[in-house]
Amino acid sequence: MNPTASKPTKSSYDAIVIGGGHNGLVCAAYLGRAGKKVLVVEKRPVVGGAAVSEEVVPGFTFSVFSYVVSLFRPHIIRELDLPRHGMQILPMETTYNPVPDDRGLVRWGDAARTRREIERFSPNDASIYPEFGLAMSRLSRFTKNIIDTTAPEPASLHPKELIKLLKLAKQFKDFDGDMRYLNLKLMTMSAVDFLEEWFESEPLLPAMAGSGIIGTFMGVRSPGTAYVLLHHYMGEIDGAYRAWGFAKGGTGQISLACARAAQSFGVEIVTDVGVSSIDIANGRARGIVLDNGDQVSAKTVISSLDPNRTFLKLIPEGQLDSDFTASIRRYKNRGSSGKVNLALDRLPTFAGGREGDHHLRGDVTYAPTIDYIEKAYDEAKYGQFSRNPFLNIVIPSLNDPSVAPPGKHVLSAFVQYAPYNIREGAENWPQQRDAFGEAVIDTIEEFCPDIRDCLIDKQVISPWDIERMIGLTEGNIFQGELSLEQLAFLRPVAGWSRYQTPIDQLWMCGSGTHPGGGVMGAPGELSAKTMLSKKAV
Amino acid sequence: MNSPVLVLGGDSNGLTAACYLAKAGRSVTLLTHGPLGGLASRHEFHPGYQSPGVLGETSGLRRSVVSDLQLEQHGLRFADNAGVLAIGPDSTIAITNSRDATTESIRGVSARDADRYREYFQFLDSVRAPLTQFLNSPPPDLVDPSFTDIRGLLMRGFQLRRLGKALMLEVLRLAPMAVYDWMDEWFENDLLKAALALPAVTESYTAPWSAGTNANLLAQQVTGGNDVVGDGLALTDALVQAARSLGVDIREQTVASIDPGRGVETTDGESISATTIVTSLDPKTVFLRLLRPELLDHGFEQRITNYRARGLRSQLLLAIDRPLKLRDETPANRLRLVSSLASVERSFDPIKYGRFSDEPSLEVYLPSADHPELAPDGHAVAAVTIHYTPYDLAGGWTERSREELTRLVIQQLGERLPDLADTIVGHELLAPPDIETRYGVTGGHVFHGEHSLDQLLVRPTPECCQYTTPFPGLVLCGGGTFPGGGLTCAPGALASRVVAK
Repeated sequence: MNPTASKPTKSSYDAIVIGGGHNGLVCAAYLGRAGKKVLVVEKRPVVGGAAVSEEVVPGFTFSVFSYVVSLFRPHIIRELDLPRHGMQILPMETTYNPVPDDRGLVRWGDAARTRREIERFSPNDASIYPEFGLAMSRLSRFTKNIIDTTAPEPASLHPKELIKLLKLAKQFKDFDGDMRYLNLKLMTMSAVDFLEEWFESEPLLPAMAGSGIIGTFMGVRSPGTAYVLLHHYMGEIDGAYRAWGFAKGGTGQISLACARAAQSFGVEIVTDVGVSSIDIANGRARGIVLDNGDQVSAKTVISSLDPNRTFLKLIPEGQLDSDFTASIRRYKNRGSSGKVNLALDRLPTFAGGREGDHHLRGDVTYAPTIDYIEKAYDEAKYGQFSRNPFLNIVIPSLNDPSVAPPGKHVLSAFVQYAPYNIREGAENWPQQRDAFGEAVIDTIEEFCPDIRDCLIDKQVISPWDIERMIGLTEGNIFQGELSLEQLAFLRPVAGWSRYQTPIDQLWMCGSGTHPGGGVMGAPGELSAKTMLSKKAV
Repeated sequence: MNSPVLVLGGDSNGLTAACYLAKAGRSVTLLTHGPLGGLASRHEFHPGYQSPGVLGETSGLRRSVVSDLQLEQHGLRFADNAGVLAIGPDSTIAITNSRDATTESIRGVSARDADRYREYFQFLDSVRAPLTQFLNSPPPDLVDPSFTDIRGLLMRGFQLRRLGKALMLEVLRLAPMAVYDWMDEWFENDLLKAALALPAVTESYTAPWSAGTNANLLAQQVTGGNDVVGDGLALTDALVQAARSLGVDIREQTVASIDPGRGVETTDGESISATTIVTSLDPKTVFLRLLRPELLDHGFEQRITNYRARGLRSQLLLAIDRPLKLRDETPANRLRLVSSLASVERSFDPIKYGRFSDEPSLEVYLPSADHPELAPDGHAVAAVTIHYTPYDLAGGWTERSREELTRLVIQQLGERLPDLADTIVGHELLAPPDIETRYGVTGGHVFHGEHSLDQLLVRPTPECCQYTTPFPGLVLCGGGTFPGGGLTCAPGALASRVVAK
């Protein structure tokens, strides 16, 4: 990436994107590609938002927040030529589920090997596993039709919208009956109820169910979590389904590639520049006011920040009608997860006696039983972090030695649940942060007895920290919960799911818009394409 | 087509279907296992004291059924001011059919909520028409839609759209929500929120924070009307009278097996032939117990097995030596002993691990005023519904666990109803397995299957979601079909239309 400036060079642009997260950058790149003069304003010294890599401990690069890649839309990679700008994905091939006093379960890229692993727990599950994967892949192809296009508008009477709805209905009808039924169930059931129709054994059940709760404030037995399972099968790298990977150099490299692509199209990016408000006159956005008081004007202003921050913090009072503000206020953010990043002197020993480190190169999910994950949720519901949390761990240094000094390692644990609203009040997180970090390390100790001996340093991030560090309201990593009533035409609020806002020439392009969170770039792309087609910029 | 019809099941839906079919000119025989009324029927639980049944709440009874079957001529009357008294730790709210009276009662705990309650009902009124239309029509087949289904769906969509764009989108937003969040958007008082939302979460393996529970609340609120005087038992009596007057031949016989298209065998060894069999028994009983296993193809058997019917409520029947006097002068004979939605959520948590809560959410039904015959002179009966208790209790429903549950429920009742404890002269606890045995419902599930979004839209399975089954001549008409369980008579009425065709 070319060096960024800390001051815009011009006083006026075609478009200003507030926030240099990956969606803001993707949006800016597409607008730049269309020949527009675009400015991206990022408050932090680095671009990337929640997709950043930072050398927090000297010599150790952490993917501070977001840590794996799978959903990044392949056509965006192509259209923006991201590999040329430094995006390189290293495939993740294994999923390991350690279990105390056992070898645990490893699912490998090799189907036969996975089958033998599952057979140890249940021959029945082993034989049904490939069939399940096939069904889920077919379903995810249907869902792709929804995430790769703007949200349908069921209330619109416009012929174009009706045709779009009919097309979706046709795609649904083209499935066979079993698939349609499965799809209905998937959209509404809990991960456990859904999976129990197929599988019977632990740790396979909790290992799979765990992917239904990532980033949500719901338990594996909560209705609505089955749908999130599908995300695991939508992973797509180089056209291969169910492929997950690490970005070489950390997740931040994806953002940097997007930034370089944007810059190659003439987009100007400034960092260390905060926006204090959006300049609005007569119901029309006409620019932004920076923290230092400077004004920059633009034909179009685009916010990649979450809806709460955009509409309740950056827009002067009185500019929005009260119904709209009320719907933004009731939009649920509710961060539920934290992150613990460890700098390790050596690779810790995992219990279970498996040879080598091949099984550790993908992700390691700690969820030995269904009850274990559900109990973690029960604690969190009433406002405390889970003492025995669900963990999703990666050790990216095994695949990508560039992120740690030779022989040393980075271990990054995604932790659930850590509710933003703890009983004592969110502002008391700093007093609980240490205890939270200790609970996580204690939990890791259950399957890595020597973890503390390997520890050089750690970074503990609560949802309160996420909010403070990168501005995500209540630390919600998806810019708002991915629950049914906040998806598609209801995201972020009914009637405003097409990136437009009640303020003329103010648009949205963050994860708080359709199709939602995750490092996929889709909101940024769809928003830019919508603006261009409407000649709004 | 005027062949005789055999109806299996003497509960409200079986009786309703029998009445409609008899009214359409069919000759109808109804077999009932045990007393008529099913879950809304009496049994003696202590010498001289009778239970009013497990289901009593009648506010969802469809008015169209009442008028079609002329139930009012058979003794059915509506109470114009019945309802629920919510008793919290330090306040009470009477939620009755009278909105004015209810608003005033709420004003006692929160002036803001009293005003909001009016707005809440104004909102419900504004969306009522298309929603009741949806709930009172046969469901569209979402899995394998025919031309008629698609036309029906488009029509429903159009009816919803006629509300205006904003209201339509609002309805689509509300259905998949957690009831907790919706209540939170309206009200501030914990007791009010819990009392309104409790029926939406019970018996569905869900709690207030579970997504989709708001659909239950919406369905219940838009179809809710006045209660029947005498509740479930009175409804049963009226349906039985109507059935008899329409010439339905009612026999107390238990079915041992069904041979679709041919007839049934009863447990007393009789073979009854019938080409058309309509049953209000729950789907799992029908397909997994009464049909020969070889008749079921593998996929269907799996889908029926996967249909979730995990009973979660127990009932504690109390014989008391004098009617309970409530300090509030309200006409309510139904009490909800709750504190907050969080407390309901907490009482749900243990069932996931096979235990029951130390502080279950309780509902108390006091039938005595309308039904003096249930108890000796001057005495009365109280039926306490306990949420939540798992069917598969860890360690089983032993004498000890029953005693423990009874003790803690009575203790908890004592805290909110101090006059009750020393009037108890006898009791019986019906845990989910007891409800299963006594009333013949799989899993002890009183709604014949959980009311979760997937099981409401496609109930019970794709091949049976429009009352017909893969077996010609066998039709479902119970709570295990759309729009679900409870004393609504809706499935019975809708299913009879299919048979009439």
